[in-house]
Formats: sequence, structure tokens, C-alpha cells
Amino acid sequence: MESLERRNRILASIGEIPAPPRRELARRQAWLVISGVLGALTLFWVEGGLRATGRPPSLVAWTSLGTSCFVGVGMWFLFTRTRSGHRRGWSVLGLATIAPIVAFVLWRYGLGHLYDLASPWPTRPGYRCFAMSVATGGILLFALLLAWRRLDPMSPAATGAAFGAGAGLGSALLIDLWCPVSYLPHLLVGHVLPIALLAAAGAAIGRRMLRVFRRGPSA
Amino acid sequence: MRPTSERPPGPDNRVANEAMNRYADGDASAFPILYDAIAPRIEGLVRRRTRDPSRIDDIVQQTFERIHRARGTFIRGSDVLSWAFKIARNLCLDLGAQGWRERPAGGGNGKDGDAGADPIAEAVAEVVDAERIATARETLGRLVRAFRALPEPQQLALELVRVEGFSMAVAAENLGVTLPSLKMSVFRGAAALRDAVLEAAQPRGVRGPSDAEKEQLRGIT
Repeated sequence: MESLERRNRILASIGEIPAPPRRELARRQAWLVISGVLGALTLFWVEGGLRATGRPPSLVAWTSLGTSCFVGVGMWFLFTRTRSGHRRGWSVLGLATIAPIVAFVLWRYGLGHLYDLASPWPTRPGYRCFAMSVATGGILLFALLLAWRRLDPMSPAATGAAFGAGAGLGSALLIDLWCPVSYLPHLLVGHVLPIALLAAAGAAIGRRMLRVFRRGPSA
Repeated sequence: MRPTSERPPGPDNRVANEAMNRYADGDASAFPILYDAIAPRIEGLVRRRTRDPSRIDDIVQQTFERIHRARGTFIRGSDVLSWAFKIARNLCLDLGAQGWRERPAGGGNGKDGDAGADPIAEAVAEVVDAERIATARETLGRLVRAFRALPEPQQLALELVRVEGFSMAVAAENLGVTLPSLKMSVFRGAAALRDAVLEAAQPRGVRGPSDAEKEQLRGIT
């Protein structure tokens, strides 16, 4: 019987395909993600780490606290899945990326304004922050993509975009500790643009890297 | 016979979810249980998109292979059937099974074809009382054509909610849309089907839809 033959064929074929069970996979993913976080932190500290010079410690504390909250909420929506196990839809992922960015910019600019630090800063157009954001976020994104490589049979592009946006938000949190400038164009170029770039890169790379390979047609 | 659209979350899903949980934890003996629980429904989904037996076979096999490969990512308590449907649907697109719009292999134009031999008609027939199929054949043909004319999001929403019996929330997550958007798709799709069938019946001038036909339409839409 055809369906019985197919059942036997499928049962036989999956025995030949390596697939780590949940615990083993979680352990492997945890190692990769922790390595990525440590790599990003290392780069952050090599480039100077926390720089409170030129701004009061209370401003650093307040901006970091607010940014942590916005980034945390955004990351929760980006990295978790729905109750039925699906990645969230594009509209939710977009909202989970844009809302924290808008909140972060308003918070940072508003606080900078209060402390008189939001005025133009011609020598800091934001390129250094941009490079630093892309570098730290890129390490995080690479680690996430590697941890989920060939493991998303449903929505690899959305997962990649979520990882990219999440990595971008994570790097924004680090750069927030590094950069004293609250001038709006600087924030947009150095802090916001990298998040969009990483999200787009995550979607493009994730589409190829996260999808489960399709084998050739059955004989 | 109860229409499939009214099917409550059956014990099959519970069995399948438990089997998938065990399988994700590394228990290989759970895979045959999982297969037996969900294979017929996956095959039904694929069969509605293509009638090529070798392609159906290939898509079903690859769906299970992908479930197997990604088993470690299955979240405890998730709905494996919803997971599997999304994988199968992606595979249908990848492998060129063009969904409900695929034309019969015989080159029919889909306008006056034999509704009973159409994969969509077969699918819709699943939700119609078997004893009424003969008398509802013409209505069914109109319904099939109206269904084909629906935008794809409405087709997918109706398929998951009305044919496969998913809850609105799970169907929305499956399709990656918001719940209000999914509800709107189901509502608009159902209304369009109802209107198309009723409008097509009116110009004949013989009679409006009988009570039985109305009841049947309510069951479908």
C-alpha cells in the first residue's frame, strides 16, 4: 500500500538525518550565543568601554536605564515565539523594532536636552558610533545565525530579521554607554541606522542560512 | 455528519503534541506516533494544492524530514500541527504547487470543470454532508469558482479556520498576521463565498436558494 510504503520510507529516512534533540541543541545554542555576547563585550571594552567623560553620571544612569527597558521589551518580542511555536508576524516584528527605537531616541534626546547636551556636535557626525554599532551587533548577529543555522523550516527570513534587529538593539545598549552625544542627526546615523541595517542583513542572510536544506527530489 | 469546520480540538492534536514533545526530547519511538497522528492531515493540505501523486509524496516526506531536523527547536506546549502545516505550505510554494489556483492536469479552464474531480471541490466536499453532495453539485461548482477568485490571504484563512478547524488565534499565528486581520479575512472570505453563490443562483429566476442550500452554505462559510 502506497501510504504504508511512504510511512516506512520516511521512518527509514529520518534515521539517516542528524537532528540534535532539544537539550543538546539548547546547550550548543547557549554556547554560541554566550560567545557572541562575550565577543561583542570584548570589542566594546577594547574600544574604550563605558565612557562617562563629558556627561554627568546621573545622565548615563538614566539613559542606560531607559534604553535597557526599551531594548528589553523589544528583544522579548523579537526573540520569543508565539504560543503555537511560530515566529511573530512581520508587522509585530516591525513594531517590536521601531517602537523601542523611537522610544530610545526620544528618551535619549529628551534627557540630553535637559542636560544641555543635545546641541549640534559637528566633530561627531556619528560614523564612529555607526561602525562600532555594526561591529558589535554584527558579532551578536553572526552568533545568533550560527546557533540557528539550518534550523528554521518555517520563516527563516523573519527569524533572521528578528535576530538582526535584536542584535542591533543590543548593540545600541552598549553604544549608549560609550557615546555622550545626544544630537538628533548623530543619534539617527550612529545609533538607529545600524539597527535597520542589521535587521535587513539578518533577513537577507537568514533566508539562506537558517532555512532547512531541501534535498533533491525523491527517486 | 458534523462539518469539519466545527471540529473541536481533537484528541489527535493532544497525542501529536505529546509525541512531538517526546520526540524533541530525543525519544525516537515517538516519531511513528507523531507520523500516524498528523500525516493524513498534512497529506490533505498538500492534496488541495496539487494532484500530482509523486509531488504529494515528496512534500509529505520533506515535511516530516524538516520536522525531524528542527525537532530541537520545538517549544514545549506548542501546536505541532500548526507547525507542520506551515512547513508543508512553504514546501508547496517551493516545489511549485501553486495552491488553490493550480489548474487540473487535464488542462481544464476551471470554469465549467467537473467540480467533483477538482482538488478544491474535494476539499470543500469534506465539510459537506455526503448525502447532499449530489444535489449540491452545481452549488459546489460555483463555490469552488468563488473560492478561487478570493484573495490568497482569505483563502488561507478560510482553509485553516473553516476546513482544518484551527482556532482564530492559532490560525493568525500560523499565517503571521494579527488576530483582527485574520478575523476580517475569514469574515470577508465567507461573505464573498456566500454572496457569490447566492447571486449566481438569483438570475436563473426559477427560485432562490432552498432552505437546505442555505443551511449548507452556512455550514461551509
